[in-house]
Amino acid sequence: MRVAAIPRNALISDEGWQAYLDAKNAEGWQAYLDAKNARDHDLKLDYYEHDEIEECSDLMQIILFAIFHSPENLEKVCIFTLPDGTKTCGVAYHITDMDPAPPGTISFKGFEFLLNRFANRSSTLKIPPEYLGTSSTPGFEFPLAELPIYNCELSLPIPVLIWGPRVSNHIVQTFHIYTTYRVRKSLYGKLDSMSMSFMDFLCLPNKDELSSLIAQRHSNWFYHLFEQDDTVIWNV
Amino acid sequence: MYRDPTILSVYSKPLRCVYENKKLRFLFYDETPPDNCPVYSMWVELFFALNNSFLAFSDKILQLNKQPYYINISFPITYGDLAVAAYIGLGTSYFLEARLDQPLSLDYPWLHERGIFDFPPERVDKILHSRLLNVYTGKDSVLLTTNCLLYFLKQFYRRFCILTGCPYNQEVFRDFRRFLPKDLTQFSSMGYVDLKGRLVYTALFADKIIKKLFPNFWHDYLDYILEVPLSEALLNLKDDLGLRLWVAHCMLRK
Repeated sequence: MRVAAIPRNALISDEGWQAYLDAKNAEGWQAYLDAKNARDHDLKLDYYEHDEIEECSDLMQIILFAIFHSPENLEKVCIFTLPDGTKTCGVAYHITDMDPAPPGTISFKGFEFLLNRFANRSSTLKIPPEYLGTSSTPGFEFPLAELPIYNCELSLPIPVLIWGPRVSNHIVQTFHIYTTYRVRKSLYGKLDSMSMSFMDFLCLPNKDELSSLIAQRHSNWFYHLFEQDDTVIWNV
Repeated sequence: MYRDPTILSVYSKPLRCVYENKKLRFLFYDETPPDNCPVYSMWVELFFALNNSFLAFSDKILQLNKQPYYINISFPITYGDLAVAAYIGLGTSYFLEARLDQPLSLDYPWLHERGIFDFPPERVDKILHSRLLNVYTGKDSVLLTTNCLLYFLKQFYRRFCILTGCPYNQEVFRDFRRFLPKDLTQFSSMGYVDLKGRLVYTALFADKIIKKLFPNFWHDYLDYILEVPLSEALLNLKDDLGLRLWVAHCMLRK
């Protein structure tokens, strides 16, 4: 499986990033000039065999972590229970150039510049099959098996967390999906019933490691501290 | 100074919060948490970052004997800290007073704060109770944690100044209320739950504040401050979730 990665040196300084973008831009124009019938000047990421770079600290793999917010309460997110009992608060994707994209990856037709970042061209996010029939509501299948991703809906990379199963060589970017606009109203209740806040998710057993970290990062515990009623809890 | 042993034993305890019925609330020091509800301690973390690097502070300053230098400067919040934070509010005048002549206390910095414990016990109780009641009902909770952050920044800075001879720069604290809301690139903060299950309020202070707090640090305080490039920090993340988050934040900031 080929996955997108960015040289570490490009990410740790503004000068390095600018040089990387300049090189990508030049590469894109050259490809455009070479292919006379090219539709547009596309930018391309660099792709590598996953197994070969998994322990390489010079390349940072991009992980898109898709989080599905409840249509009825944006503070809650959909929780999935995988066949082995592991619970996740979203779906992690590598970016690939393979067509069709294998499960757990997403491919884009290309990228363009937007405010110093890579902005995507349209694509489709496919939910891996093991996530679809695993909600807490019996008989209810997660309704967003395939999700259109529109032009420039994503800017890459905007890292929120550095992670890695063995080496810290993954930049994790969260992709918040607001399901209100993606599903029929009749499904709102069912989606809400499989959702909970990150703080509640952290209380569950058998959590996926990356999901835990994302929940810890987005736990927003201030919100829970702030939302108190006027009951005097400590009675002096 | 007021040193009632009961007050000391109570207020030096680490602050606890319980997550119950979708809400987080402070536990009183002797309160037994409800069954099956997670209980968290609360910490404050300070990070200092220039354009492409972090500042690490020597153990000569922190005296924790855990490692030679610390990028992540973290403090547990005790009931005493909470009381002081509740007492001081965000009054700028509090931050302008740095009592450099007072001894350094690693365990109970709040004991030396603004004479709050100089009062007779009844008055201390009254102040703390009335302030804490507000906190416990949640009206001031968020403001309180922000106060704690600035309170720890002041404590850390005061400590640095006493040990290194660095002049205490009041201007930074005078500016806090004025420029913080306007210049968010100089100060970022977030709350997260760390890998040990603690509630952490973490803040990153950037160039402008650093240069005011520690002028010419790369010449004058070489024994106390080490500049750690982002690339090096990236290779030494270990189990420090705060550092993992701030390293990600510092990548491609512009």
